[in-house]
Amino acid sequence: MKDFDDIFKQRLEGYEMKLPDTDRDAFLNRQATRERFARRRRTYLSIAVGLPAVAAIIMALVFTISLLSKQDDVPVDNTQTPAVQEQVIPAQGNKGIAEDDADILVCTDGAVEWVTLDGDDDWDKPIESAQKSQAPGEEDVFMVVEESPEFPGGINALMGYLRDNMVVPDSCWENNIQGRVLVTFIVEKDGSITKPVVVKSVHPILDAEALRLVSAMPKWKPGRQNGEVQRVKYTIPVNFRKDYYKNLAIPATDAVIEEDIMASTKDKTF
Amino acid sequence: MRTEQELARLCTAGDREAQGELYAQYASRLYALCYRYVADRDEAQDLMHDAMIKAMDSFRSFSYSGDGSLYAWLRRLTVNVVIDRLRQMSKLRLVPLDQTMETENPDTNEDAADDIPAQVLMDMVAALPSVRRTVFNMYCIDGFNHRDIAAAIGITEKGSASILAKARAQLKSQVNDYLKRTGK
Repeated sequence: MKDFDDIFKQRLEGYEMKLPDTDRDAFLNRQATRERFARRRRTYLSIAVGLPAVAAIIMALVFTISLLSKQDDVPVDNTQTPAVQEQVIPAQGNKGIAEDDADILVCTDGAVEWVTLDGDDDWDKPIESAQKSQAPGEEDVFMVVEESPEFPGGINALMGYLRDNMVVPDSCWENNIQGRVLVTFIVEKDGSITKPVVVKSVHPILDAEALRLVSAMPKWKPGRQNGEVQRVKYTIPVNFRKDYYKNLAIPATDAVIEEDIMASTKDKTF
Repeated sequence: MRTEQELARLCTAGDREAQGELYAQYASRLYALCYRYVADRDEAQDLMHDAMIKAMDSFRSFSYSGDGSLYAWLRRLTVNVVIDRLRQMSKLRLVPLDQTMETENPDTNEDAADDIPAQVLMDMVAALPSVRRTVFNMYCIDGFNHRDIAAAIGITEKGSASILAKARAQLKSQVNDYLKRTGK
């Protein structure tokens, strides 16, 4: 038994497989981009922390000075600290996502829908005035609003959430059960997700999983019309594809280590 | 040629040349490692990149302990990345074991088998179903014990041992077929 194992162990342990020549530069560029964004994020963070502190000190000084020299005409510095926007760094290097997988927001027939670029929908229709739909006895549900509801972290985060939490038995891939399930739901005024409904089915197993994923989504940022939060009907595709797993984007938090692997396994005998 | 510590330090500092050297030294081996587990070139390439990126981020927890310790550290990190991805993709879901089937233990000519080209051996491993492939790789090539395999995958130690037996049996029969086909 041991000899047999050794055949594989000795030959395969340090085995090298050839990579395409372009791979090295692709990797180095990807790493360089990550480092750039990590640096940028650190800068924003220090500004976001530093500026309010500096502003507070200045205000305190100004207040003190104006108190002490009430008689004199001391010009008060009224410059306002600019609002610091901590930018959400978009997920970078969507390395594996082929172009036909990029999703854009589309307005068709008053329903806000996500489609892929190779879809037939005419996506250059402008968003018209808010349209409502109303179920009997219910408050208005908007289908198109000025400010769309948003999954926390945006489009890429939503895609990432679906990918990361998808649970599909192997037997589906083996039996070629795959496809895009369209699920409609309502984003309530408080951001919670209600009434998930499959509007385009693929297979009962995938449909059920799509519903589960949608029901389990965290609260969204609710949609707004005329500045007020409104209930909005939303549709998303849940894409079950065998080779979908290859097209994993780098999550936006990639630069931050989520788990220091080595520290946590230091005392284990791996 | 830089020392391992020097290389690690420069990579963390963002030295592109050092990163390039790290890649040149280790990428093809880590790629092969990933391929052993996922049996798909694109997926393996993706995983290898993820592992090297993670290495760049975690270099501060690498402490040099002799020649080759960087490779050993990278290997372990890569296996962890691979297992996490397999878990995420639910590739480690077990089909209920056929309890009635005894695991065969065919004979093989080990000396003849030793001459089989390494890429052929890789392909034989790639031909195993995913759980057997994972257990075989972890136990026989990457040196995990059944207890840790069981913990990583979410099976029992006994299950790990029996899956390993089936993996070996399947590989043996592949080896025998190959030797027969190539007239040895």
